[in-house]
Amino acid sequence: MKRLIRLLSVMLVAAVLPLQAAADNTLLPWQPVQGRFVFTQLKQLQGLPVPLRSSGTIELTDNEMLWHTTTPVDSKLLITAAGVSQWQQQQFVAVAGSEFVGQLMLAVLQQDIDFITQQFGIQQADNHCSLLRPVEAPLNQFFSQIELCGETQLSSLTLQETNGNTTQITLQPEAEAQ
Amino acid sequence: MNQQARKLTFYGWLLAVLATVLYLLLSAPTAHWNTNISAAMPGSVTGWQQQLLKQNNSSRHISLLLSGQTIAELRQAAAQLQQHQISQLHWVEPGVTMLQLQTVYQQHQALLASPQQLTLLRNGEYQPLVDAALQRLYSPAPLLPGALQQDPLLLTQQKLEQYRSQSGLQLRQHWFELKQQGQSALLLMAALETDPFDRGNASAIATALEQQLQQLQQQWPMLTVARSGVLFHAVVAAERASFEMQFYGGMSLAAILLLLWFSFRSWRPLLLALTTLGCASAFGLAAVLLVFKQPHILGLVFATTLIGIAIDYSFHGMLAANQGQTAFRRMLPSLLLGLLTTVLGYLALVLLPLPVLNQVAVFICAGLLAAFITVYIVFPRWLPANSMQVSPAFLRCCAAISRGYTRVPAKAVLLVALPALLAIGGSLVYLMQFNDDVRLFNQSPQALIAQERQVRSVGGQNWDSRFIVVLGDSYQQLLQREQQLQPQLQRWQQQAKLTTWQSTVQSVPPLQQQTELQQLLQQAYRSDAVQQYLTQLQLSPPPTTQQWLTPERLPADMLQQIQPLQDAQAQFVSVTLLKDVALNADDIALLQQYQDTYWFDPIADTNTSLQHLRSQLSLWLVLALCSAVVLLGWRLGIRPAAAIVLLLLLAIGSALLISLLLQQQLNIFNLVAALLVLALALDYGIFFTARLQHQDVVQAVLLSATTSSLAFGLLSFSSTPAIASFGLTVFLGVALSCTLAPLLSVMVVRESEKRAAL
Repeated sequence: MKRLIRLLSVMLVAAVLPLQAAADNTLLPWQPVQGRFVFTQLKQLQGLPVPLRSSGTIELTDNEMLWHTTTPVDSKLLITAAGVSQWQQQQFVAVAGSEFVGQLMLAVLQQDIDFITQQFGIQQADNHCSLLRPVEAPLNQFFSQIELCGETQLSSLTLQETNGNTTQITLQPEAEAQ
Repeated sequence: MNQQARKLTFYGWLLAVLATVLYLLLSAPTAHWNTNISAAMPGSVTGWQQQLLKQNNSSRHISLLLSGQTIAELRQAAAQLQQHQISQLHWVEPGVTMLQLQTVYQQHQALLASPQQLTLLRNGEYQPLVDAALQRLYSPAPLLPGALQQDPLLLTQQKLEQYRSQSGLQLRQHWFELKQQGQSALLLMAALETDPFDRGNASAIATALEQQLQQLQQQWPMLTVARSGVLFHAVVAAERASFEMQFYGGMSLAAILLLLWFSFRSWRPLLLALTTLGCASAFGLAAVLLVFKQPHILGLVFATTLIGIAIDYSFHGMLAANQGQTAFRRMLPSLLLGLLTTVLGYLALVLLPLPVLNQVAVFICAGLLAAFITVYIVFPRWLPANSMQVSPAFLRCCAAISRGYTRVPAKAVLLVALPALLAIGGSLVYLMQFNDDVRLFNQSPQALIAQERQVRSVGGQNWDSRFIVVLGDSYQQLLQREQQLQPQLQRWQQQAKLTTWQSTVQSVPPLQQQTELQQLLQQAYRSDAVQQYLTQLQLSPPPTTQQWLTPERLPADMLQQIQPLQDAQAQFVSVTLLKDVALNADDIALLQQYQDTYWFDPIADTNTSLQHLRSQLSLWLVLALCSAVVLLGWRLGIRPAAAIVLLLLLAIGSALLISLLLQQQLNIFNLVAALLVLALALDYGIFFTARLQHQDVVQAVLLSATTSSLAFGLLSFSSTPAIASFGLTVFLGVALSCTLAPLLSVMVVRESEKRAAL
């Protein structure tokens, strides 16, 4: 009898695990983003009457992302899992405390399922969107939720900060934008 | 003494022994044994230095680096470890500290600026500040809440982001994660609520933690754990000292009992020897617990040598009592003189500023006194005349040795001894080299040191053991003094004399600077460049704030570099930590320009104290030798005194020379050992120059020297270098004294016997 229960338990666990993985794939159906993209960013900050609109290009490889804002200011950020570095005086200078932002951006764009399932509760929303709610510090100290949208490919991210600020980023492959 | 008085004395002594044992049973289990090697060494000179070392918060922190499994498994292991409560240990939550810090800064924006930003503001160069603010504004990274309203130029935000991040460490709620050569690793930190050098508590915490870690390693066999923290080193040192104390003490005792059995083949000598040793140990330990609040475990290892010395009294007492009351009474003055010289030798150690030796001195003096009283009171009562048969083989051996020595002509002894003394003395002076580095005295196992380095390196905690100390009467005064020092630290960084530093003022500027920044910002808000920026964002310039950022508002973890002082010089002390220091004496001298700012190098300070102590000890050795000459000259006459001094010089000189040749250099513990050799060799000298049967003295001294050599010789195998050095020199000194002492009768006793006969 004990052996039977043990066997059933093993079978149950074996059956549930793929279902969970499948659920993750359903909720995050996008292909990892690679290559050059054009982005537009709309930042709405609490207490700031005007939204901040910027645009530029993103170049994404396996381990890093070059975030090049061209309008209205020219600035470059190198984003890796280790953090964000800003282009200053002909070199990238690390921005302390930015490790989680770097990790978050790379994980979301590259669809790092392990990271996302560990850090977020995932929920299906309307219109090809998924809602990620951070469950662990430090992400839950900065973001209340992150919305990812797109049909076959991730096309927009909305970062909702706990202090009410919102950052909406839309992505378009450079080839399509031209 | 009549029969009644003897009976009374005997029962009085028995009562004293029982009271001591009772005291030990009550106090020993609750005693706080110290395992800190620095507590056993001479203290730093000033009060604040001592307090700073004593209150050192970092010694209560531990870190564990988990690796060897996937990140998911490591997280599971870490969570499992943190779930189990370990008494007096709490896990640090870096995520919580960061949130607290962020909240504090969020409430105090526009009060922090980097030196570069301050320079731009002071010079009225506003455009670079505006450009930097715009760049930051358009970055996807979140801003501190209310940043734009309180600090539109985002100076505080950018200042915080300029802090050098601990490379590769990713902050999580309960730990940090990192990559090591492509492999995932996880760094856990915890704080102890007890002194890691308090043996009982520290050992309990370490045992509980190791049990948890073992369980994790059974669950995940590939899991590797690297440990960092004083706790682990202290516990290893305590366990090692405890093992050595039991092992060497046990071995000495076993050897003594075997020797006794071989020599007498009777239970009575065994019982008497055990009684003497038991009383000596009980009184020694009780005296240490009475005198010292937190005795050092290292002192107990040294104190095991009591067995080797106290047993001598037992041998002399047994052999004399066995020959009857007269022989016993004739032996007593020599034993008393021996006790006096040994106790005087050890009492000299009480005056030295070396806590561990003070403790050893108290232990041995009390122990020897108890051993002497036991022999004096108990032996004549428990060992009637001729009740003990000395082994014929042992007697034959002693007689042969005695005959061998008595055949040597006195002139030959002098002809060999004097040139030998000159040669040994000359070599010693020529080759003598001392090492006063405290780090040589107690070394952790290599594996633990490697783990410590690994964890400190990945955790960014590999700070130098030297640091800069600032004294002040208030937090603000400390911050102002630290602030004045910052440009100098920057210059040293630019000159590659240090890679980085950590001061409290980097987290919270002094009020003076916060006020200046507010004034500079108000000027900036009125400038064209900043006004245009504000207009573009449709923002109004914020008013000046009166809500200042003070150190008290920071999370407790951030204030560990400031400590209160109970010192007339100042009420607070702050520490600036440095990394990869390459400062020379001229650089350090520059610190004198800054008020109440000092360079603090605890290891170098201890080494200097040790060096000073060594000189002091050398002087003590010479003084002890001179006192022995005077005492012996007064009690025994010039000729025996001169002969004994010759023996002492030869034994001590040779022991030090051989130790020097074996160790390459001498240290303070070799000198301490020399002082002990002096005390022990004096005993041998006194007995061989006394008017006692040469063969009897050979028996007693041979037994004593064999047991002493065993006790001290075993110590030379100790893994604690301080103990090994001590054991080696005493072993050599005792062995040489024992070999040379019988020649004293050749040189002295025959003459006195002749005089007595006349």
